[in-house]
Amino acid sequence: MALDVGFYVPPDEIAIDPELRLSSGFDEEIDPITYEVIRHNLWNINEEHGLTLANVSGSPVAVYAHDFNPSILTERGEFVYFGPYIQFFSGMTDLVVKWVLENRSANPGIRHGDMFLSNDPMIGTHHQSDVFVLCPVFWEGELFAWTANALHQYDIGGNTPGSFCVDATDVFDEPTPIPPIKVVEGGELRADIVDMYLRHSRLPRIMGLDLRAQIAGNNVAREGLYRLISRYGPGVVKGVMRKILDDAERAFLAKLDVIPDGTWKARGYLETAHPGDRDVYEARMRIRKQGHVLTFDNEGTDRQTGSLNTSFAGWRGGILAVLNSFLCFDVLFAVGGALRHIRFEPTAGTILSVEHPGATSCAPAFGTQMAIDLAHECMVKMVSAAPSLRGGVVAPGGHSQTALVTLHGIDQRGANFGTILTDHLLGSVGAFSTRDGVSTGGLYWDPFSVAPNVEFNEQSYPILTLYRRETPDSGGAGAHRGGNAASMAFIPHRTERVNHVLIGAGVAVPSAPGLGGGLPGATSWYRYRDGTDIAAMLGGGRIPASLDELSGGDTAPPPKTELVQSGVDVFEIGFTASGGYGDPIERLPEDIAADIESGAVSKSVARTVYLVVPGDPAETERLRAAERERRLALGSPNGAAPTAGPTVLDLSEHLAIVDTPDGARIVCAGCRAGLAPAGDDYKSGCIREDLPLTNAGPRVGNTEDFIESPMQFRCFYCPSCARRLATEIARAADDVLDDVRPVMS
Amino acid sequence: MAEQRYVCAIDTGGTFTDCVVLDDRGRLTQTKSHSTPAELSRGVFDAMSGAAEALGRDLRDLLAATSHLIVGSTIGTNAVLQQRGARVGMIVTRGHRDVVAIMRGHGRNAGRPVAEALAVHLTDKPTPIVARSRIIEVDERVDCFGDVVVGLDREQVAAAAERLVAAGIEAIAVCFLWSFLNDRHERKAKEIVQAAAPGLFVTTSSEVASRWGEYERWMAAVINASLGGLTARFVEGIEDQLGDLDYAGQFLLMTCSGGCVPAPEAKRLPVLLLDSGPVGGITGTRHLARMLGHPNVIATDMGGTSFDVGLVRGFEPVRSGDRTIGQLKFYVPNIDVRSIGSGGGSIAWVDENRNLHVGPRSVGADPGPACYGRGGTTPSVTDAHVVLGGISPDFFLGGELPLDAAAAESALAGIAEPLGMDTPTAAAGVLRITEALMADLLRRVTIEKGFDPSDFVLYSYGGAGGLHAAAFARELGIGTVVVPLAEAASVWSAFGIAASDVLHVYEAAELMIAPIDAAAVEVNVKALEQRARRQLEAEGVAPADITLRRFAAIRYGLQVHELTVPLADGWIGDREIAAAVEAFERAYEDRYGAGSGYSEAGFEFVSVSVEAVGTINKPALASDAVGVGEPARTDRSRSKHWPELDGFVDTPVFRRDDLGPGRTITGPAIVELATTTVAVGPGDVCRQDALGNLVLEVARDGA
Repeated sequence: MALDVGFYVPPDEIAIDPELRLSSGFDEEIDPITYEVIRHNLWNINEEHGLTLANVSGSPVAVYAHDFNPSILTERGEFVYFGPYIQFFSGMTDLVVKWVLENRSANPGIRHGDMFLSNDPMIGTHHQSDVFVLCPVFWEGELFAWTANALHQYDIGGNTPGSFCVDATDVFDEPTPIPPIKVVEGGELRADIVDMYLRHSRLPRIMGLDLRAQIAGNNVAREGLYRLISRYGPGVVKGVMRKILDDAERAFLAKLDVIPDGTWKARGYLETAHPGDRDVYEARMRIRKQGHVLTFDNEGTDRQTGSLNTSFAGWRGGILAVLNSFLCFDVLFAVGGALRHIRFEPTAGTILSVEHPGATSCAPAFGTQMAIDLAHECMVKMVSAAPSLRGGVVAPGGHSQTALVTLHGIDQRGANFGTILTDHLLGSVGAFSTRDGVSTGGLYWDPFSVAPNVEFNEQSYPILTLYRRETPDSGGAGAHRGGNAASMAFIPHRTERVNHVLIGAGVAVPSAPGLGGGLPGATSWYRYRDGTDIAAMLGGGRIPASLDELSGGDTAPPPKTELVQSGVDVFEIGFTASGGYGDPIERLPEDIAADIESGAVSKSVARTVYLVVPGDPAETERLRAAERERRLALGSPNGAAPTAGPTVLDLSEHLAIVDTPDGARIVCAGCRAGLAPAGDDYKSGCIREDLPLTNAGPRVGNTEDFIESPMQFRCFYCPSCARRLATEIARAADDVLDDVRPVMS
Repeated sequence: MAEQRYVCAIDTGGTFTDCVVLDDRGRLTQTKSHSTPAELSRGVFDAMSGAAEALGRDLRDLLAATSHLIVGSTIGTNAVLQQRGARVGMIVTRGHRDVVAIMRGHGRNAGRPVAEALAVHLTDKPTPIVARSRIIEVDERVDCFGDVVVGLDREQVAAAAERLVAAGIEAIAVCFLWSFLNDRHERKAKEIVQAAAPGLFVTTSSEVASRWGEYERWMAAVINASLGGLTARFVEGIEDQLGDLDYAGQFLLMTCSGGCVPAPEAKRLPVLLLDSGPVGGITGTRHLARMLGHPNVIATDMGGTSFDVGLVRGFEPVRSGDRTIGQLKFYVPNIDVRSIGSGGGSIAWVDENRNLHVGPRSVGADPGPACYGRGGTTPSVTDAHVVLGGISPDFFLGGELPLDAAAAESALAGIAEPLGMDTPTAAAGVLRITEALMADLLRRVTIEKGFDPSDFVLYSYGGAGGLHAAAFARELGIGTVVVPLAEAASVWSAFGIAASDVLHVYEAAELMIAPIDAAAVEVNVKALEQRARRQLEAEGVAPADITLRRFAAIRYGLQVHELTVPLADGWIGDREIAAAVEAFERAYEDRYGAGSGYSEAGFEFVSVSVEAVGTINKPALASDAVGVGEPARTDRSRSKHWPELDGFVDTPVFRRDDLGPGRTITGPAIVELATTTVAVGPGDVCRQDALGNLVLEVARDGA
């Protein structure tokens, strides 16, 4: 049976009806010149596909936010090329193609001139708004390849305009998912199917336009493939496709070859499953690297709940979005080669692999984003173990769990309006192993996305922005600093009120942890000041630089809330920033002086977090020495003798494995103090300090305002040199995470 | 000799300064001289002296007979890239100091190639062009209707100016939100700053770019401010020397919008001068395309280190409202010239999987291709041409630069060996890949705009283009290639500068939602036209030479593509608005496909603009009588590799003297001119027309 409560995980060998003939033959020997010409042309065909889609659609979703992606796949659904837009679709598109091959090849059949449409999270999307259109490409009666695209729709139904249903308890409160249906048959658009599809939406005409755009994109790509095949023959073109995959596979394996075998883990917490909820939910990821195989699992993740979930496809997409950026950046988005060596082992029925009928309409804001956050943390820890790849390590963030705002009401011209502000694209990029992160550096997994101008927002919606700026001290502190993220405040303007639905995450719990002892990036926040004197202030010729300058009562709305903002109320929102790298007290005082000069770091944080007194090296050294003393005085669990012996493995810039007469031991890479036997958790040999979450950074919010579970910020110090080697955020009741476990051969 | 009148045009490039002199009978004189980067204005006079010499005159003489001197340059582009401009301070709306630091969140990748965007660790924002400490906020606020919400605090402005001056800044950009709808605060602040700091270069965002979108508008103002001093020195350097030579004609500067402006305007708005040299190529193309009746042209300029492309559609250059230099995006009306490759210097290399690639890296100007004999050993596209007989080692640049064929051979052997090929096969592969890649990129540039490349004619200028143009055309389904004016192709941008007119673009953002208030449009357009006339007349343009053209930029309510369509002359009422909307709907359908517009969401007028042209009267190009298609003859030949013919074939070589109006050449053949070499492929036919252009009729693929 095709439709089950379970989700689709393609088998290694997909079952295709024998009636569907596949064109699988290919030339083994292709001269390098023909190869390069066709390779570039295939890339270009995929680019034309994307340009056509964006041109015909014309929607800001496609053109500015790049919430789409085109791809070319082989006849069996292996990626050849994937576009340079939102990367998480790379974990979804091939699933839909394979499902269609398995479940539609017999009935209704897959034929020349057909296209299929789907937005079923149990098959191959993460939320219903992201609709896929797939096009089989036939040559002489045989299925040669697929072209496909995904595009986010403005509105595809559900109980909330815009289709992010934050109060959904299950999928029946949300847009009804559509398993793959044949929307184009033999070159003809099927009117019955199109009408059924468009009936889902509050904006059927717009969705109709986007459907045309998706079809037009596929048409252009299919024509491009026909041009290539008729010129070079199917064997040559298929041979090139295979070689692109093989080359990408080799490049991927070359990276795996320099990474030692081992296990890396990450843990995160999703907050408030629905409005009114005051709980947190654990999400986990583990990577096991064995030779040429990477295995991902989500064991230990909490059961699916409320609107937090993502599908298996979304979890897989989140992982691949990160993997593309860190392990496939050199193969021009040809992720298919890497996928041959990646295993996914989802635990079903969890927040990160929901079963029907769990709700997923908010997946990109919560579950899928959490998959990205965890995959990022695991993967950079893994890559840190390869010295030749360590230059590519960047601390988590660049848009982790963050604060979204949807607004609706009557606009400044008297018309209805409703929107989701896209200013959250002004997140930051985390600290690199080699340098500071990038403030308001945008999303690395959507490399060309663009945030709106203030003038765009104010023209389109009835708001007046009092300020929008980079938030000082928001990037996680570290030897290298995380980038700062933006924050902004606005008032309703030329309207009575603005209605908010807050789709918030990362408000109660930091979601961009630091690396190697760095601090996490700031939490996101909503701040609401009601009944202020803003009108009098503006009338008097002054614009406030902060809510603190205004009268009125201050509240911090919880992450998932509805609220009404009247003309005397001021609303502030801050976006999540990214993590730092390395112990902040190792940051060079001259770098801190430059940070203060540029406004990136405040003087008080320079003193309290970095322990730097600008212009006073002696005092700086005294503060830092005192801090080291303080850490050491907390007491070491098992002594701290420097360990003699040759280094056999670098685990990161901060940890190494040394061969000793008593066996291999994990040591602090800085001072070579022994921490634990190589088979144990290195944290067991560190000095541990448990602190309130607010100590995780100067702009980490007050968790107790929003959730009941007590949370901790845990620091792990070297028992000899007092360097902070690791930090973790956890519920007080949760175990220490043994996040780095090399396998000793 | 009777009284001559000349138009004299200069294109100051990185390596060469070209000069074209057009006389009143439409005849051209051209020279090339080395640029003088340290003191650019000297190169301008060197070039003119060269032209004077070619005309048998001295410089003073030439200038005495010159009515218009027009100078194009790339001044500023490198200054922006390397941030060598003036130290700029900004005075901005309170709460919005970080606009130019935030860069709309896409500062890491704006304008960068896709292949480099995914590796996050290789990306970064550029160094802030204005440090935060040099940006001062003042209380003032205007809203989206242009209404004042908070009045301007003048004292704060004066204090800010003093602080900035004390901090040693050299120019100030005044940048306020919504100033394009209401510029009173910006203008007032500018006055205050000027009073507080007399002589300082001060610019406002609305005077530089009266457009919606604060990041790009403010960045335009910042760049304008940073280039003020540099540009003034360049312009005044020329003005001084012209004064010494008693020049009495008009001195104009080419802009990237495709026209030229008088010196004072250039000094006020130096941002207009960025990249104006390459734009000359497109104005020249438009000029010629009109004569030849080619409405749609892909104009390609393939040189030693760059490959630039621009489009002419319906006899008008395709324009853009913004540019990105060094990841900084800013508004400036410009002819959209895109650099899409690295020309003849592109490096051929073999990767670890034994795949052959060409580019994107280039051997650059120094040491250049291996065949230049300057110590380079890296194989480039130019080297491949030498190995395959496309370029004669003895006749490169008319024999001025003898080439080292053995060096080219051994460079190519370096990639042939790992590929297991002989050297000519590898060289032929390099060329095939180059042509396929460039065709892909040309295709993308046209498709991106919603055009079909096969509706176009291809123009090829620049020294390295002639050997590839027919191949590009074949890949794109284009039937006709034009090598403009043959010998003048290498100074084509200078020719285009000579062919340009005075042009000012005035813009007023409208941001009106249908139903459009025709009376308001009328008021705005009239105001722009009045400004336009006043400015042109003040610049000495006779009323009869003034042409004003009106446009409206329109879009659908829920879609972002905005298209600029002509607005009727005369009084604007509802009927004229309706006509503009209809023209917009037609244009939209033409670009994006039937039914792709969503008219139910209504229409929005984004802006109205006026293009004010002050025509510089120029003669038609001199043309010769055309013969009746008789074949050209030559005794010269050399062995050249033709992939279509599976190898080397003894190929006739034609030079300038062998050609003539109406003469035809049937491929395979080589046309070897002093500045470029043109390959006429098997089955292609090349004819020289009455103006001296080489026109290739390209045989269809596989024919």
